[in-house]
Formats: sequence, C-alpha cells, structure tokens
Amino acid sequence: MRKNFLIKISLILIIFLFSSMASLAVGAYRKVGFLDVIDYILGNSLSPATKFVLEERLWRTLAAIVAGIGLSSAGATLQYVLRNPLADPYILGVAGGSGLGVLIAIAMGWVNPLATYLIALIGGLSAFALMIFFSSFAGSSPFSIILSGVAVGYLTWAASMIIMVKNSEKIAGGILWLFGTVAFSTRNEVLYSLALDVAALLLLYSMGKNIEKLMLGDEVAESIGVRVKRTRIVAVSGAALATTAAVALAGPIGFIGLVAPWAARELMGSLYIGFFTASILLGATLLVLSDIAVRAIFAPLELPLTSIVAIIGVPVMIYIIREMRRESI
Amino acid sequence: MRKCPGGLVAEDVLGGYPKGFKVGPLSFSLKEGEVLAVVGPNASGKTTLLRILAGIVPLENGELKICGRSREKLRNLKPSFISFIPSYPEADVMATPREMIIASSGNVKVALSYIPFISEFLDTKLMYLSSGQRRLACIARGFSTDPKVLLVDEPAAHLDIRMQRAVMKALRSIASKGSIVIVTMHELHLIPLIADKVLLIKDGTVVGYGKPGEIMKKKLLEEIYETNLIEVKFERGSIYLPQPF
Repeated sequence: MRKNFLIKISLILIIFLFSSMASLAVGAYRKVGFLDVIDYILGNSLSPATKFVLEERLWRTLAAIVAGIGLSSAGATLQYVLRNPLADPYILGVAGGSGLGVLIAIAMGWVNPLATYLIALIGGLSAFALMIFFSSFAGSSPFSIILSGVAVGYLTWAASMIIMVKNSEKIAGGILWLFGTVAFSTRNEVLYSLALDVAALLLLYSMGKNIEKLMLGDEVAESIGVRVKRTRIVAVSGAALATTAAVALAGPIGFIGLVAPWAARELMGSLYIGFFTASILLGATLLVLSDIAVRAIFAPLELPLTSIVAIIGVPVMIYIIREMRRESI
Repeated sequence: MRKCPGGLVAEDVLGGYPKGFKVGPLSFSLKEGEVLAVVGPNASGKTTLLRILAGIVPLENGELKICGRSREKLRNLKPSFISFIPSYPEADVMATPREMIIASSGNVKVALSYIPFISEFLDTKLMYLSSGQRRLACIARGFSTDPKVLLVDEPAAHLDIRMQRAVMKALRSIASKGSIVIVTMHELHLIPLIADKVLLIKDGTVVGYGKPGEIMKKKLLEEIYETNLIEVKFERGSIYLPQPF
C-alpha cells in the first residue's frame, strides 16, 4: 500500500513539475520558449530581455501554484472535517468577505495593489470570524458551519451588490479580479500568500492524524480521544487561512477547491495525508495549466481563470460521476 | 486473560447533557470477560449511559472506575482501551471499511477474525454498501483494536438473523478473551445468547439489575414496556414476543 502511495504521488509530482515548466515557456511574447526555460534552469547565459520575460512568467506561475495550493488544501480539509463531499472553500463565506474588501478598496479609490491585497485578507478573515461566531450557536456542528458560511456569503454579497451599483464606473477595473486572475499578482503578494499557505499547511499536516479520525464520526472520534469540536474549528481555521491567501492573491477562482479533492479521493482513497497531499498537487497543477490556457487561447487577451478551470475541471467531474455509476451497480 | 484488572465499577453514576436528559444515579459492576446488556424502552437512557462510559457525555456525579482507573483520567487513551460503536453510523460515506480501521489505529486482521464477512467489501466505499453492510463495517472497526472495554449501541440493528447471530458470537468471543462488553438491546430474544448480566432501565433510573434469568421476567417487562408480551420458554431461559393485534 505504501509503495503504491509513493508511486502515485511521484507521478502527480512529475505532472506538476512539467506543467510548471510549460507555464514558463508559454506567453504573449512567443520568442521566449521551452529551450530558454531549460537554459534558465541550467543557469546558462540569456539575453536580459529573455531573462525579464522568464522572471515575469516565473512569478505568475508561482502565483498560480500558491493560489492552487490554497484553494485545494482548503477544499480537501473542508470536505473531510465537514464529512460533506460538496464542501468547497467558498462555503465558509471567506471569498465573499475578501470580495467585499476589494470592492470597498476600489470604491474608496485605493489603488495601491498591496493595500487591496491586505484589505482582501482582512475582509476574508473577518467574514470567517463572523461565520465561526454564528456556527457556535449550534455547537459548531458540520451542518451549522455550512449554514453559517452560506449566511455570511449572502450577507457579503448583498453589501457587494450595493457597492457595485453605487460605484458602477469605478468598479469596471475590479471585474477581472472578481473572475479570478493571477495576471497582476506582484512579487510581494505572492510571497505573503506563500507564507500564509505554508502556515496553513504546517497546521493541517501537524494535526492530520486527528483530522483523519473525524472520518469515523464525531462520537467515535471523541471516544478515542479526539477533541472533536476543537479539531474541527482549528482545521476549518487552517482552511480559511489558505482560502483567504488564495483569494487575496488571485480573486475568487471557483471550482478548483471542489474538483481537485474529488480527483485526489479517486486516486488516493480517504486516508487524510495521502488524500490531502494529492489534492494540493492536483490543485496546483490544474491552476497552472488553466493559467497557461488563459494566456494562450486569445493572446494577448486574458481570459478569467474560473472559466478555464471549469472547462478543464468539468470533464474530470463528469468522469468521476460515470465511475460512481459503474461502481454502484 | 488479564485484560482489565479491577473490571468496570460504576457507583451512583449520574450524567447527561448539560441542559437536558440525565441518566442515573445507577450502580453496577463487571468483571473481565463479562457481558452486560442494558435494556429498556426507547428514550430510557441506554445510549446516554454508553456515551457516559465512552467519555462523550460528562459524568456529573458518582464514581466510574475502568480497569482500576477513574474515568476522568482516561482521556487521550489509545483506541485499544475503550472502543465505542454507535447505533447510527456517522462515518464518512467516501471511506472504505479498511480505511476506517486504519484511521482508528486498528488491525484489519483482528477485525476479520471477529467479523469475517467484511472481507467481501473491505475496499468498497461505504456509499456503495447496504445499511447492513455499513453496520457490519462499523462493528468490525470497533473490534479491530481488540479493546479492553467494548461498548456497542444496539449490536443487532440493521442486521439479518444470520448476521445478528454472528455478531453475538463475536461479542462472546471477545469477552472470552477478557474484554468487558456492554451492549444496549431491543431484541429481547438475543439476551439469553450473550448477557451475563442485565441492567433494566426506564426514564434514566434502574428498574432491575442482575442475571438474565432473574431480571427478564414477564411481569416486570410488561410493566416497563407498557405492553402485553407472550413468553416462550427454551432451555436457556425465556424469550418474549409482542402480543398479536
């Protein structure tokens, strides 16, 4: 079983690395291609222009990886601790909070990208705090967390709609962010989100054995020494941190937090560490591939990331649904 | 054999939900290898009692000693100490029986030695299993850690008569190795097959406690279930059936 696990994870890792290299080789400036990427990796000398293009693409690729890791780690954890295969990062209401933050920043005329990033972060975490507060009324059960997240999501969406209507001219520039994009991510933003991702992953990996026991149901987990409520709230907080890091960086990219964990579950089964690791790698790979398509299809026009994630992700989802039909006979 | 020296001793145990239903005060004691059946009508406190023993619901008063240690000090113990099998499986439907056993630090071989039937669907997700198969998987998971104390809420629920017998046999078999087994039961006809002792409760308090032959009397049962019963005698005791209508 262990050998099988390593083979599968290694294969996913190879696909991930290959996708990342491809992401460096593709872009509006077509003269810089795969051979330059090889030279860049080997440290061979390159013209300053080529080097500049590659470095821009490198940060963009890193942004896609960081956002992909954030969303898929959150989706995987939420599906697990809420024991709901339909849970995705946006049921926490975090994305709504970040979106509201960004709209407020745009409406107020704050153009500094770092300020927008920080506002998105604060908005997301505030929405999360509100969600946890609401869900505590019913003992933070999986059901109360989902219901509170939906309530907070609608609340932030309501406020966002009012701001959009009142500031319609200014908002136009923020539309691409709302669709999801890594085209404008700056180095600092990538590094901050990377730091938040690392913090969330360390937290989630360190409590992996306890999270895994939630699979057995709350009562059984509690009877074998897991503090169920605390474990669930801390795990959901880790997921919220990872989601906020991704949304502040790249906007509310949809679907990836749902499809990557599903694909991971099909490949690796339900034991947490394997499932979680595969989710992260698949999420990052899917977002890197989507970002290549976003740039390449109508270059130099940029497409919204969510649209491409869905175009790539939906066939994966349909394949999984077909597999389910076969097994249930 | 010495699995749980000191056995399980409950003295004036009272516990329950902070602002809700309470069970107790009640007392009973079990030696290693003994099986206790907790019997009573719906909502009489059987499951709450198991949850107190499992450490899920707080013990508010009285003393509870398991294998010579007080219940309060038993948090964060290995799953091989106490294993609890709820009647209503809440497990993730995406998980397989094998994954459930691994997640609870159990051993698949041990589980198969008690409940061999799960070998057919060990690697099938719960969502594709029937309710009876899911139930067997959850029961097998409970056995898989070879616990010192096994608490099973309604071990016969969802199971056909062959599987009911197989699970009863497994419960007796783990008891014969020194484990203490406590079950709740609605199937009065299975009690003579497994129980060494019976705790009869209603509205959270004890109505009777002793050997099955002493407690499972027609008049007492009719009184606590508030219905007429038909008694059928066989060599191991009496079984009871509902009155036709």
